[in-house]
Amino acid sequence: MATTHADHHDHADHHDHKQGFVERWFFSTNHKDIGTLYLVFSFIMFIIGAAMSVYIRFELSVPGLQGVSPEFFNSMTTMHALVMIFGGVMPAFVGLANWMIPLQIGAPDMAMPRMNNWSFWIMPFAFALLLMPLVLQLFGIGSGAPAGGWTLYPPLSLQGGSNVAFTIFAIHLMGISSIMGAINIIATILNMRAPGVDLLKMPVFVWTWLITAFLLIAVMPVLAGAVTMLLTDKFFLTSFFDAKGGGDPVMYQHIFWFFGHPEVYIMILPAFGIVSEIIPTFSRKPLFGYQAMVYATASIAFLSFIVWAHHMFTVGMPLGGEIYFMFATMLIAVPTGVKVFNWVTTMWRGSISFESPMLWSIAFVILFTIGGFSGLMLAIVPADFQYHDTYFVVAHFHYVLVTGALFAIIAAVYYWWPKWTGRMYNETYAKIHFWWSVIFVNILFFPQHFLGLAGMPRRIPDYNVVFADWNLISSIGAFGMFATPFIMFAVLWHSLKYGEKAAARSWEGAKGLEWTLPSPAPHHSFGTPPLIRDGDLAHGDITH
Amino acid sequence: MYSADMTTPDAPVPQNDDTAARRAAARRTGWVVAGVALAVYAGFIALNFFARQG
Repeated sequence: MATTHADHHDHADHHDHKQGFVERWFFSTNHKDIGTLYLVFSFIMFIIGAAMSVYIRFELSVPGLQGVSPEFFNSMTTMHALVMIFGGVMPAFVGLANWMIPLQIGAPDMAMPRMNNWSFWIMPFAFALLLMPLVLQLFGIGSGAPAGGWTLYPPLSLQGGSNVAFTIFAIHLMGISSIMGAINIIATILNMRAPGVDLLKMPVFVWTWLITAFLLIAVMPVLAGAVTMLLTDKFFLTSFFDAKGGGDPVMYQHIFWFFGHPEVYIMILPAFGIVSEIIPTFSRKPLFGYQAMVYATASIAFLSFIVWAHHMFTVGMPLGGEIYFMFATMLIAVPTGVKVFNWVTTMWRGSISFESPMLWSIAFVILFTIGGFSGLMLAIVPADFQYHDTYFVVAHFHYVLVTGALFAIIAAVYYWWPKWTGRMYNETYAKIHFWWSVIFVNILFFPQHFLGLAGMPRRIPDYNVVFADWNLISSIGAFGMFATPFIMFAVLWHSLKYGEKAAARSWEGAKGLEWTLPSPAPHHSFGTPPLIRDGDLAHGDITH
Repeated sequence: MYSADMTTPDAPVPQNDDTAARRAAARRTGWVVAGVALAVYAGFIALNFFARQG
């Protein structure tokens, strides 16, 4: 079959010899291998971030100070967020993009395969820089990891001693990696689609990544600019954010959250794309409202630029500004609601089966919506004066990021695993992973709504005894959740060793170009652009 | 040439393999996007710098 033969065209990583380990994994120009690298890296970072969260929840499990010191606790909260956001969630989505976008658009690889490799290999160096102060502290060297919060608000963040430079350089490197990745994705999707894969026939996952890539280009440089100004304030005698020198610390907050709000949509739009792939497959029905989904995603991305100050309602803004940001924030619920309704309508009167990817996707729809509801509550300015900097905010963002982004990532791994490896996994073991996670994630985060409403502040290592009960329950949830990556590893390891061979179309209802390739997908695919008929695409019947 | 699902052989069709041209176009797109990213980076710092001068 044409697409499984070794390609003789000018493929970027064409080689006449079997690649050695170093050449294949350190000098890769293959989107599948680079995708695997990102996913493995992300998995390791998730475990590191989860270990930090276990420490945090251990400290908070009962009143009083159990752990090392309050300053170390602050480092843990700061590093947990940085590792999870920049080392866990974002690389996982980039890994999925690398694997799946070329397959879904019929391209032989990403547009710039060597830059793709650079994008990945910057990340381990960036995280070595980020984690180095923490590791050195364990040996009594240096002032420890950053401890001023992942948002790095000055002046506190600049008082961190030796870790400030490490952290800022790490963020620069991560930003460069993300920007290069986004450039590659935009160039690939706009230029490398096989003939017949029109923009409004692309899979929704590809659309959400195209839009996410534009968001990355627009806002990662803003973060880079903000932390560059922090660096110059600390080391080069500028005073961008130093009131003594005529600067404004609140200006940092505006710049940071101008990055920060689109950043949270960068972390969720690919999840929307994943769920939009999985639900139609296991409902055996086309996605309801494909064009509405595309326009809703674009609307969410546009609106994400004009709502940033809802992260800083209590900072002292004029009332008119606060009212504007309140209404703009509530407006984002409209296109998001369109998407939720469309997922549900896709399932309506479908022939539904509940394999693991579908379970994770349904859990996403329900639990992400709960996170969205708490977000709507936070959008209301007078109410936010009560909720701001409390555990209510922590509950909100963990619902949208853990039961939202992370559940979608897990769903995607289980969905595309047969395509990547040629093996099915044991459905019973996978369901154990699912139910264990769903139960413990809710034990972990739901009580935090109550803690926030009762007034428990964020970022504190010890608390008033009135908050004790829900904290203990939440910590039990955390200890249970910490087992889940290891359960997942066991499920996938078992699949590699004992799993049934997977068919090309591994799921009965799956549609799309990736399912036309054998499982596992060949190392090089679509070297010759596939000839596509409308029925081959999930959305091939969409007409302009 | 086979159809995308690789189950039904099609009659031979002219190859439309313009991968090299599309790669070149992709590189141009890449440079444009990189320029935008750089402009945002420099622009934000400059904006903050000049706002303080005024």
